[in-house]
Amino acid sequence: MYKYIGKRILQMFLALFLISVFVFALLQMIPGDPVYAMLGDEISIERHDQVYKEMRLDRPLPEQYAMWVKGFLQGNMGYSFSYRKPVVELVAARLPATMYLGVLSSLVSVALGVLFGAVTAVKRGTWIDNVVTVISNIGLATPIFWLGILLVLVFSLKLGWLPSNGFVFPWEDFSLSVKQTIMPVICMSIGGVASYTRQTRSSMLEVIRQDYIRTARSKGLPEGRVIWKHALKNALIPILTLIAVTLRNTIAGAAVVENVFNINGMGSLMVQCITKRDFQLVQACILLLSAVTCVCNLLVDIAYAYVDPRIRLK
Amino acid sequence: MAEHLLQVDHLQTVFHTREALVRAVDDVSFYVDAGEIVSIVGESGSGKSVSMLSVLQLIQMPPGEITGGKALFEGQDLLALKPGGEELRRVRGGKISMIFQEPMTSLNPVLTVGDQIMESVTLHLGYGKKEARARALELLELVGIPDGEERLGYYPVQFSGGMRQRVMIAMAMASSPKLLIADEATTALDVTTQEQILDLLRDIVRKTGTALIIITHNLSVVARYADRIYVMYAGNVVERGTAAEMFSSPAHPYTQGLLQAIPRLDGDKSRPLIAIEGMPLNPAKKDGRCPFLPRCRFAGEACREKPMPPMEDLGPSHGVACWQGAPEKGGEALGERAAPARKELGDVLLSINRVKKFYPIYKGVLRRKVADVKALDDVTFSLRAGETVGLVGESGCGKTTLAKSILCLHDITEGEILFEGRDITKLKKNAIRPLRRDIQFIFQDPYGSLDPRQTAGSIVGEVLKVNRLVSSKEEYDRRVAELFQAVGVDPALRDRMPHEFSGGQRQRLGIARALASNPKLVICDEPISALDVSIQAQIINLLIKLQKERGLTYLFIAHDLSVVRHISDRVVVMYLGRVVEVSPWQELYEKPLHPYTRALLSAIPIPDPEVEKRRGRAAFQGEVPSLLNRPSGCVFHNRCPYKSERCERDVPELTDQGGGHLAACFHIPGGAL
Ligand SMILES: Nc1ncnc2c1ncn2[C@@H]1O[C@H](COP(=O)(O)OP(=O)(O)OP(=O)(O)O)[C@@H](O)[C@H]1O
Ligand code: SF4
Ligand code: SF4
Ligand SMILES: [Mg+2]
Repeated sequence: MYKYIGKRILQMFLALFLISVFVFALLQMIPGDPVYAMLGDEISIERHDQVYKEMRLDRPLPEQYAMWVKGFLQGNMGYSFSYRKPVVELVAARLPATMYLGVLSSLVSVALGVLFGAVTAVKRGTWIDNVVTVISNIGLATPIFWLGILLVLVFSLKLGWLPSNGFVFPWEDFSLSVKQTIMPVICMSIGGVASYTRQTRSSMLEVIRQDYIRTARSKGLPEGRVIWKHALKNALIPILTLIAVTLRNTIAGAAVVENVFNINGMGSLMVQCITKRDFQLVQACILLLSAVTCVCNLLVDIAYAYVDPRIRLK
Repeated sequence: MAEHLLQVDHLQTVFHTREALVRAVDDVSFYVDAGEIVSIVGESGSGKSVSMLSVLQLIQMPPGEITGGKALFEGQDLLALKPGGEELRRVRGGKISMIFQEPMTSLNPVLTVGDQIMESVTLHLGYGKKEARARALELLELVGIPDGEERLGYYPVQFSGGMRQRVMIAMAMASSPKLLIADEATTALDVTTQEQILDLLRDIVRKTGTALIIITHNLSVVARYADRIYVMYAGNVVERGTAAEMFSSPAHPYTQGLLQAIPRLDGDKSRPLIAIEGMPLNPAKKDGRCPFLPRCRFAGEACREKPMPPMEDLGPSHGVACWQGAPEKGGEALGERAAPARKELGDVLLSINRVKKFYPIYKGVLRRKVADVKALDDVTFSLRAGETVGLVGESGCGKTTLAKSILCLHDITEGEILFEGRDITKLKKNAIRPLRRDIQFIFQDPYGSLDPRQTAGSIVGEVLKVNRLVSSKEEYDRRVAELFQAVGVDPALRDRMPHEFSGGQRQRLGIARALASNPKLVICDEPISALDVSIQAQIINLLIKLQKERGLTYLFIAHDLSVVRHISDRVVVMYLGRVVEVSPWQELYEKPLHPYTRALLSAIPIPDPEVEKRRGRAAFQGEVPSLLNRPSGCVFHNRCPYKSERCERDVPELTDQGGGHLAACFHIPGGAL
């Protein structure tokens, strides 16, 4: 077990290293002089040379990379020219909101998806199954952007129940926070709920046919225990894989949702810095989000080993 | 009438499938008394499992439906209980427990075995955690699993098949049930493990007075263990009686047929197996008449006109459902007892010399080689032209690896394989091609081994085209038709797809394909083990007939020693990658030399309760170890009752004990060494 986790951690660092090299190379790939590319052509020669030195562009590439990584680890992620602030400050201000929404909507997706999936599998062929299946198909096909706007139109503009934008943490203002997060979380989790529902349903149906479920029934266990204790734990194994995949979609969804609801998070920051060609900021954003994804994948792998003894015992 | 523990009356279960209404269980009645071992025998699909599952309302509903009958258990009708209700659940696993066929899949892989056993204990006995644990330990001891404390925390993957089945039994016994139902509980296990598990079950019955129902397709198992027997065919019980009655005077044509269709370890080899022609009836096609009618030799006018015959008593315990009463035993008369033709054997065709095949195991990031799995270790024997050599051994002993080596499907590590005097292990790729014509093979699985997208005709004929063995379309058609005829499949069916054939027919097509190139040597890898009992005899007879006609040489691989003995001229016994004994067929049963062969033979029941009672049994312990923990010295030493110090140290060589009978053992019991 420890060996397995150790191996996964090693793999994670390897992945992070490769990603960092790639992100670093990004800056090298910008055509023309990076300083002009970042600051525009209007700056003076002196200013150019100064920035050139500051960015250590006169040193050999490996050294540049080493310095960059070192700085990053020490919390010096570079300087954002469009915001005229250190990247670290921007990130510190914005990452928490995105993390909060991301974690919340992931939890909602998994909880609802697994519940719906289990229920539709058990009630297979009944009207509940049909209704939920149709809804989840619609959910999968709905563009987030469109859904966000629709929600705002109905619940904010027409009914006036929910604020159309903004974001505060629950510990700042609980009721406002709840109202503000409802619609973004719906948008961010709808695809997840739908895909977890489908995955859970099919893996539950698979598991229910297995011999060990028949064994559990023949023991005289109540049906509820058979489903929740014996079937679900097995059905969850393929769902864990899905969590890793869905995570990427959640991050992509964050970019759209934060723009629609005007939330100052990493997603909107990324979109803005890409349009403004603020490369150091882009670098930092990509690296951070990759790190978050890698850590989540690690957690999924560990959960895997926890649920499935066949992996743990290898 | 005295009350029985479980009495099932006129049980009817149907499945509503898209195509038809399947009468899986059609008016089935039986009973069991406390402390009794009752067996229900029948081929696949005859409704054995469904009958039992119906009693506990465990069949899938829908599509299943119990449409009639009663199942009185201690006077209470189980079928009248509410499905999934409290009362029914108390019976399930509490008073009636089931053990299922597949030990590999019947335990929940993500829960520890301790959890799974204790769950039953707490559920039915209302014990607390600590007491439940103590009870679970007691149960593990009962089923012969040592180190219970530690094993409780194990997951099913950490157990071998035999051990898992023991765990299943422990679970089933958790609540001290009144009735234990074992549904093909040992079918998936090795012969020696099967014996251990069945002995265990019988001991439990004797110790606890639990009643036991053994569901099986294996008549021999029944002969050794059952007190009373019910024979099922296509959803009906066709005969019932005590074991002695059933084997000494079988009354139903189907029972008679089955007994004549299986080879016996102690049987006379000149007795031809009398196959039951045709296929088992698909219960969806039942027409209300005797289900055995299409295959019955004794069918008369009455059978065609009258409905399903009712069960008539022949004696206090014996009964049969047949319009002819008990037709005079015609089997003996029908099978012409041809003296086995003296076989003319030719020169050595294939000779396998000191063949080793190791699979390296790599570990760690650097993929360092840490060990070898010795799948074949120093295997030596030969086949003469026209001979049939049987190769037996339990799972994992290297039978299939050897077959693959002969077919040049992989490189061997050491040694040589001479075919007609030429070493075929060092041939170049393009030199192997023509060899494929001379050496053909028949697989175990008639379902997986035929390409599902090709017609039967092109599957059989492909070899002819590929090897350019025919020069014209007419010749091709003629050859394919001839091959179909040779294996007993109507050539008119050549345009059908594989899934439109039954298992037995597919195996025939597999044989036809193997014969297409006029091979000299045919390797049959478990060719009948996936088939129904009544079909097995057809295939064996076919193989014997084809050998006579075409002078084929067979390497016949199987785990069933009685079948191997029946078809083979010589038998090679393997254990963990080594040949432990080579023997002419007659001597194999009369004078087995190696302790493993003795144990293997004694583990195989003989379908005759009288003989079974008289037979001595060789003590035998443990299961086949994995190839990874292969014992040093003699590979058998950790299970051998005769082992000495030397056996742990040195590897015994295969040596001739006289008359071409070879064995690899230092202490041949009662022998010369
Ligand atoms: N869920 C199902 N749907 C439709 N038909 C079924 C279903 N389960 C069983 N049957 C049919 O019921 C009949 C009896 O099946 P059953 O499993 O009792 O056979 P069996 O004697 O136990 O055979 P085996 O030796 O293969 O276990 C078969 O024809 C089978 O096709
Ligand atoms: S009733 Fe007729 S067809 Fe059926 S088994 Fe008896 S003799 Fe054969
Ligand atoms: S060599 Fe020894 S251990 Fe091996 S079978 Fe013979 S007596 Fe048993
Ligand atoms: Mg069955």
